[in-house]
Amino acid sequence: MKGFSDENQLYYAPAVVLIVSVIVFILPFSLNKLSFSGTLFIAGEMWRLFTFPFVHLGFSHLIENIGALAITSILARLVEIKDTEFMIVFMGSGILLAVADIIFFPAIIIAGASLGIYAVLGSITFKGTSFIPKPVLASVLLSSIFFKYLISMISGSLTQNITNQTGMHFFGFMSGILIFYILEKNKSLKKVFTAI
Amino acid sequence: VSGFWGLSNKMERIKTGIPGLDEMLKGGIPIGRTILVSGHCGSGKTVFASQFIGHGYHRNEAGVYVTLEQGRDKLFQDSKTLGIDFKRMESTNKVKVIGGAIGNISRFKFRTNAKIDDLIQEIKEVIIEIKAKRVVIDSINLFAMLFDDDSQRRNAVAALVSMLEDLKCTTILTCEVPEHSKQISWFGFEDFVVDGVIFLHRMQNSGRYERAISIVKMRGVDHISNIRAIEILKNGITVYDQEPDFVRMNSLN
Repeated sequence: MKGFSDENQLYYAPAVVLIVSVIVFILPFSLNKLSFSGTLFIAGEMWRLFTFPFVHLGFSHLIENIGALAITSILARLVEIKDTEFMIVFMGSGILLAVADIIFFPAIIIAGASLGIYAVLGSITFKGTSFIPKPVLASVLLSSIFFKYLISMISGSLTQNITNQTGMHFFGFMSGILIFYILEKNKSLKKVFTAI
Repeated sequence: VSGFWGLSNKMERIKTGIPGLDEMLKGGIPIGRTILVSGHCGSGKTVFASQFIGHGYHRNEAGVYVTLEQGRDKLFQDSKTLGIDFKRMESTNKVKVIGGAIGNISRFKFRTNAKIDDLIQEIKEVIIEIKAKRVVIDSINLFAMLFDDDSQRRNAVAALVSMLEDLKCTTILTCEVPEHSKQISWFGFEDFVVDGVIFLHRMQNSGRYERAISIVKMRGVDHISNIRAIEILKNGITVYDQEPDFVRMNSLN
């Protein structure tokens, strides 16, 4: 299925995330200066709130997220999530997690696009329910969140890092649903047929 | 009777409720498909569409009727004479009639600056709200005329059909064809985006108008493709198991 308004329009939001992530990755100081920590944010380094979703810990982390971003973008396009909605959800989930970080775990450092990607997946779940049966969609997407966790549990290599990552992904997924719900609620649809 | 590539009749069908037509369709319209019902002015397209929604109501299948030809009140009055009481059906929330005369719709569209996706989303919301299984757009050529150029019109019709298919609605798109033309749609592209085309004929024969129906295409299902005589009686359209006089006369000549 194609977008309603302009099927040839470029989907720029994922491209922006990709390009900025690659540029940030090349910067030698990105991890130290652009990742998020509640303590440093309170200390005045406020830019970290907007830069951490583009910071990656290593090459494999970046590649993993680029792959996930590509798949998520295709799904988002299919359910007609617009560029602006994509960016609001992507960045909004980061801000929500940052707030939680400041309040509960100010010492924990967060970085990476996966939170935003899972948030977009949450939005896809919310919007996609008009196209795909809810139980199917929810179970597929939720299992993708816990996939790494389950694999680690089975292989016996479950670490605190995997648990934190899974928790963060779940947070992203839920925040994506919440943000998209708010966006949809406040969308002013131009009524014609039902207004007459 | 067409063999139609030996296709089976296993596809699930939805009955139109038009006596004789479901037999021509060998059970009805395939569920979830979009069908163009086209014909000249006065051939019975709105009656067809009203019967389709009315029949669904009696089978407990919710329906949405989008009118662009005439206002709701006029549609309600006209349909009531055929025993289809839209007002009563709407009160049960099983049927919803939206839209109005094209002039009003154009004015509202201009005033609100509504775009293709606004209009489609609005229809979609109504369908989802009442969980409609049957949808009528009366007419698709007027819907297309809401847009300025051919490219926009094609996009709008394609997007509308795509949305209706995604929601698994069985849809009737009525379509006027220019008088005296041999086209089966107004713009010439409407018939390409649908799964089936039913044509309603209205021919002058010996000083009177005769009506008839034929199934021009019905993808994936076997059907009878002979032209059949129809009449609009007090209960709506009835399809007869015989050719109309104008076809028989031509055959004799």
